[in-house]
Parts: sequence; C-alpha cells; structure tokens
Amino acid sequence: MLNSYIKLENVTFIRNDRQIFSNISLDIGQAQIVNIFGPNGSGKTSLLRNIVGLSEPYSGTIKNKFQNDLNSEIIFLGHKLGLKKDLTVDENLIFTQEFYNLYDKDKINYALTKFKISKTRYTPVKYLSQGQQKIIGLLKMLIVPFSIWIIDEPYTSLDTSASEILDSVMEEHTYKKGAIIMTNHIALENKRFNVKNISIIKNE
Amino acid sequence: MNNFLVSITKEFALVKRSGYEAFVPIIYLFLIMLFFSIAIGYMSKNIFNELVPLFTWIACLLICILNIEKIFSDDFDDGTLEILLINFDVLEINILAKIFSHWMLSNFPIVIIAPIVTIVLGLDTNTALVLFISLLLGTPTLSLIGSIAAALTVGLKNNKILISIVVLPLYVPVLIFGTSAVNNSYLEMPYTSELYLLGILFLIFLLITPFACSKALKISLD
Repeated sequence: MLNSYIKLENVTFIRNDRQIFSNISLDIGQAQIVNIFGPNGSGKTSLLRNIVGLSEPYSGTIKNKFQNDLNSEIIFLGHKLGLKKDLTVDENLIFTQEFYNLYDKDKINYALTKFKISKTRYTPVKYLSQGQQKIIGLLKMLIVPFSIWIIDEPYTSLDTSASEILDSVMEEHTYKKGAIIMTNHIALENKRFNVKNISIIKNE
Repeated sequence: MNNFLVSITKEFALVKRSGYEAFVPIIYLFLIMLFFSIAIGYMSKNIFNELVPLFTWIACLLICILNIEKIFSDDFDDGTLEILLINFDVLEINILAKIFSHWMLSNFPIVIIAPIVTIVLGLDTNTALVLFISLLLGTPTLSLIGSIAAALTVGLKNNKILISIVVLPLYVPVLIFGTSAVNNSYLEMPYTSELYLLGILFLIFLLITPFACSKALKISLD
C-alpha cells in the first residue's frame, strides 16, 4: 500500500519524436496541493493527462493508491469543461452526479451559493460568459466527493472574487484530506494554503 | 445498468433541446423516396414494385451514414469524452448507451416509417413486413459498425469522408442480406435464412463494438 495518493517516478513523455518532458518524479499525498508551472508548450497538460491515464508515458511509472477504483476518486478538469451547452446549469450538474451514481441536491445548492451564481441555475450553459462557464466546470469538484482534483489552469478567466472563493474551496478540500494537482503559468505564492510549486522546463 | 439509463436520458434531453434536428433523417427518407419514385415512375408497375423495397433499403443505409460521426464528435468537442475515458470501468456500457440512443433517435423513426411509405407506393404488406424486420435487424448493425469508424476518426477534422470509406465495405454484407430478404419475399421465395444472417451479424457486432470503440477512442484521444 502506498502512503501517497499518486506517485510518479522518472516519467518521460515523448510525442511525435519530440521529448515533451523527462524524468519527472512527483509524490502527492493527503492534504497536499501541487502546482506545476512552466511556460506555454512545456507539457503541463500532457503531464496531467499522463497522471489520469489518458496518455501513456514513454518510460517511468505512475502509481496510485486506489488501483481499480481510481476513477471515482479522481476528477480531471481540462481546457474543455465537459459541459453540454444546450442543457441548463442545473441539468449539467445533476447529470454529472448521476454519472457517479449520486443524487444530492444539497451539494448542488451549496456549490452554487458558494460561488454566488445561484441565479444562473436554470440558464442554458451557452448563454453564460466564459468565466461563468469555467465556474460551472469547477463546481463538478464540489458536487461529487472526489479525493483528488486534477485541474488544468483553474484561475484562467476567473475574476478576483471567484479566484478567492476557489482558494477557500481548495483550502477546505485539504482539511478533508484531499489532494490537488494543478497547472499554472506562474508559481503560486501568498496563498491561504500551502502549495508545493514544481517547475517544468521547456525542452527545445 | 444505471449508467446505461443515465446516459440515454442525457442523450434524449440533448436531442429535445436541439429542436428539429431529430426530424432530419425522416425528411431525407421522404426526399429520397419521392425523387426515386419520380425518376423511375415511367417504368412498368411490376418493375417499379420490385425496385421499391430495394431503394428503400439503400435510402436507409445512406441515412445511417448521414450523421454517424455525431455519436462521438459532440462529446469530443465539449470534453465529455475525456471524463468518460477516465471512468474506464463504465466506458463500454456508456458507449453502448450512446450507440443505442443514436440508433433510437436517428434510425428507428425511419425503420418504422419506411415500410409504411412503401405500402403507400403500392408494395404488398407481407414484403413491407419483411422490409421492416430486415431494417430492424440491419440498421442497428449499421450503427454499431459506423460507431467504430466514428471512434477511430473522432480527433480528425473533416472525418466524414474517411468514415464513409472505412464503413462502406463493412456495410455491404448487411445490404446484401437485407435486400435479398425483401427481394425473396417479393418473389415469394424463402427469406428466413437472410434474416437469421442479419441477426447473427448484429450479435457479432454487438459483442465486439463496445471493446473496439473504447480502444479506438483511447487511441484517438491519446
């Protein structure tokens, strides 16, 4: 049994004969927040896709504590938010819960009020702004109890107040012994939670 | 099983929102049948009646290719497919649910309407019934085959041509058995063996498609 949730050892990823990143070792355990930062094209998103299993590394190992029921413990929020634009916010969130065999209206209410967007509840997602859509995407983390959040650039297109709410949500998640892996362009400093910054360099 | 139902409910809710899109296959069917009847209308009644069930089959087959790439392309564009792939233990059942709802929404209406239209055009009811059964057994196979091609090409732009090329040789057996069943019925010859063969084809593809699709999707999204 591993002590950590996810453990990466010397992971190297090659795509189209180009080495995207090499020899990355990472250890993510309970109540830890890891920020992977680096310039555009340095392979941040590829690293996340490797962790969730959408891509296979060229060499190295990626282990996780949950083995076969990883999927119900992990959520991956990429650039595409996984929302159906024709459905309302409410329907999108309910379908997300049902996908994981869960029916909990209170969690949806709580999540919507937390981010102060209860008013948009019955609006189709296509009528919402970019930032609001991003928030709805992020709400998925709150309405299903995942242990590990894997988020690609959570702060893009969020305004200051939404970013602060997101910070507090992430802090609460660490109290519940959850773990977060996220990517950003910059190292995170002066946050209300402890964050481990890991730099990823661009291979030319 | 629960995931199967949830996925189907979601697909139906989406089609309900998309407005008139669900009626496109039916309108295409009417258009093809109408134009074909006009084009061969000068032929004698016997030849015309013999041709009606056959071109109905071709019309249904073409309509099946019409929006087959939609099975996965919408989910690919909005990122739902990635979430589906991460949840690998329910992947196959979700793929089956998607194929089923796609068939239900874009092929099942024409399976019901096509035999009725042929009766209106003067076909005998027995052959129309065989046409209905052969379409009922054949079109799900077409959807299953098409979904493999759709899964393989989901990441590509302009994948429509590629899908047609991949799919057409695999559609030929279904077309042969389907048309020979209705033709035999029209000529009052035994037709059950063709229907059995259609059923076997359906079962074979029902077994392999979920696994082929999930593998193809993993490759496409890698």
